[in-house]
Amino acid sequence: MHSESFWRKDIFSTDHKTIGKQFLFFGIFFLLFGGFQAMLLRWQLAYPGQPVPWWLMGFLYEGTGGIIDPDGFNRLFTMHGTIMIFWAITPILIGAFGNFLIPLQIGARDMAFPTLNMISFWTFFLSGVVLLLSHFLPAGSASGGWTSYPPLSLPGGGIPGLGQAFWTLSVTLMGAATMMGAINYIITVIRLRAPGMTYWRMPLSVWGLWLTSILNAIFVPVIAAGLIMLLLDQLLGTQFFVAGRLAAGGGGDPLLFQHVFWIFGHPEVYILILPVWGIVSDLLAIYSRKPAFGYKVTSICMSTIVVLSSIVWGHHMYTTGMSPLLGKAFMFLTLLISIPSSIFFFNWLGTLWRGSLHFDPPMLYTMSVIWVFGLGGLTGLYNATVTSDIYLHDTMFVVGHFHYTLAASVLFGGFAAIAHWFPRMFGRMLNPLMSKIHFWGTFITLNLVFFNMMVVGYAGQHRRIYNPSEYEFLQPLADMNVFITYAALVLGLFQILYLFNFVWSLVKGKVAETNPWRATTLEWTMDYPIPHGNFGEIPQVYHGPHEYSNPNTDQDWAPQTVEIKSS
Amino acid sequence: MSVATITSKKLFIIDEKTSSLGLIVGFVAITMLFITFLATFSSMMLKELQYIHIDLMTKMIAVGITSVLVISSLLFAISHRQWLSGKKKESSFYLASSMALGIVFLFGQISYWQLLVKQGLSGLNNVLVGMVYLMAGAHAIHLIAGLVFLAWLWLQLNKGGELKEVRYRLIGWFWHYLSALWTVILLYLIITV
Repeated sequence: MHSESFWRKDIFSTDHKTIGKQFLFFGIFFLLFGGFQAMLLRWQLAYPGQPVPWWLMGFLYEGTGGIIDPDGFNRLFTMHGTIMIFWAITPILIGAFGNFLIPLQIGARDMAFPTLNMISFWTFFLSGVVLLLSHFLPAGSASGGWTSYPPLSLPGGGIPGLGQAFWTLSVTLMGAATMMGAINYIITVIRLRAPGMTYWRMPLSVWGLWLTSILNAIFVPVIAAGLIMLLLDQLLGTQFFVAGRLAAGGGGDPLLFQHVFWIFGHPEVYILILPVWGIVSDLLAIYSRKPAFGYKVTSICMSTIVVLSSIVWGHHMYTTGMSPLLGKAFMFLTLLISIPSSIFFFNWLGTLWRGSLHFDPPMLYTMSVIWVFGLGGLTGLYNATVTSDIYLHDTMFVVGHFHYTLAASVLFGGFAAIAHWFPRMFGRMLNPLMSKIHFWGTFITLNLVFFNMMVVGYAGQHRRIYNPSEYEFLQPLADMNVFITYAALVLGLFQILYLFNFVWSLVKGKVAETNPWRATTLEWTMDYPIPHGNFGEIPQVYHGPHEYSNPNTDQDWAPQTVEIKSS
Repeated sequence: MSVATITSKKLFIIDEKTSSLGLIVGFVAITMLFITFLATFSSMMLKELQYIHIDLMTKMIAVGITSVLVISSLLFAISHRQWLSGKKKESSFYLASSMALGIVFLFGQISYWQLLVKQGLSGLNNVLVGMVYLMAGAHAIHLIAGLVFLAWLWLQLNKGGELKEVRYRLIGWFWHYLSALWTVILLYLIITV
């Protein structure tokens, strides 16, 4: 093993495993930060106008008498959404597991462009710093929502200070970092697969991450274009997205930003969820001790969704006055996505069917993805349909729906991935008892929060309103809002347990054996710690990633490096 | 071969195909950026938000400036050919000429920008003009990156050390791509405006 200085080995490392861990720690930090903001939001919705208690860091609101003021509330939901999507989910699922898994699972020594990979992380880091700094601006951070629609997000929109410009700059930087990662992931999979590792032998996790990267490479530049225009509007006084009274000249078109945003924004949903679909497909096979049901069909379905995701953005804009014919076309295309989604969903059930299920923590988390994604997917049909969406648009129903599909599915997928690959990353096992307590606590409370969000939304509660009690028709929902808040607070408490388990296991966890889950993929064929360069010799791959319970093998699993001879 | 005996450099050699593919994916991304700009521009035109009127003479100046970039691209191709046939001095000369024309193009763009402003076409009160400036600016930033690569290549060429052909070729791809990209954008603007 070649020797490297501390800076090259642990800070500016080009080793994909180290960069993966850096992304993981970075993402967890922002996950906690964004999660804390969610607690404050829920406090305001349950107890509007009441001082934030000390145990929720009420001192942060000393300037406003301990109360979250309307501007503060706007800042909270803006930064909560932005942080969770771009700085928590993206680095954990794509940054951490993309980096850690792709080279190891396809039998490569590293990413195709290791230096670019390192630059990608540090650009991502810089974007996070810019975003955090925006909290300390005199007029506060951005408050135009995570979508930052103009004209609200422009100087004439009423939001003071430079918060919006910092938001735009940080998301643009984050996009640049994502692009660098995407180029690396795509080329690594195409060029650096080990001998015998055909596309149809790649783990589905790699499929998911690869497809995500393709979407990133195509659609991140689209939002980059929109953000550059938005930034120029914010800082230089151009008027690309300004119209009406706010425009000094003829003005531009605010609706154009919505189009550009959602042309990226809808694929972004799949950018975030595809890695989870892949990971879930793999883990179900491992913990059911069965080959993944319909492996090829699942990868084809995921690829189909990648294509479809690029032509359905209009379903986010049914209420913008688009032509009914266009609305119908977008509705049809959106509903079409339910076909490949349902197919691989049933493939998951097919994998479980008559399997030898092992309910280790990674399996518990994985199975919960089936539940939450199923609910999120089914409720998505109402949002995809024009007639119901016009009623449900911008209500808490939508908030509940996308928290099921994105937050819950991705969180549980992330927890599953961390629990499964923790031994590979850190050489120790996560404490199983604490993991199981965390799982049940999170699973129950999370459903109480997000399901009831849909209920209050269906009853008419709009999202992003500061004080629901001001509206007479929402007053009967006050108790429900209090209930959701307490469920959310308990959910938050269980995440503290998770953090404790993570840190404790990192230091004192049981030392892991080389392949504790008896998995077949290449990353489990080496002892911990895996050196820079991964494989002594690039392995030869003989079969697919899910050879479990094969009657031609002595044990119930056959690593991809072992040839199976039929008897 | 054991990992203990492999040095870091030997472990991570990026081969030609890998670099080429990486650049192609990069081209896809850059193209998407400009497609979005052009689509936005077209949408604003179709909605008749504003109008631009540019006279024929001014259009022809734009064509003239762009042809400088196209010639620069051709000179690069000649330089590459000369290098492949072992004529390093000629190669260096054509490369320097290509670079010089790239710089001329950049200054030409800035002058053209000033000319449009003098004609009353400001990006601050006309979104269509703003889009043209934005595309020119975004292209110029990529062009400056290209010039840095060209300068690096020229230095390598004149140092007399070993230079990998793939680097020459890929820098060339980038330079030709930028030339083609601006030509397409200009043609589109001339046809639509």
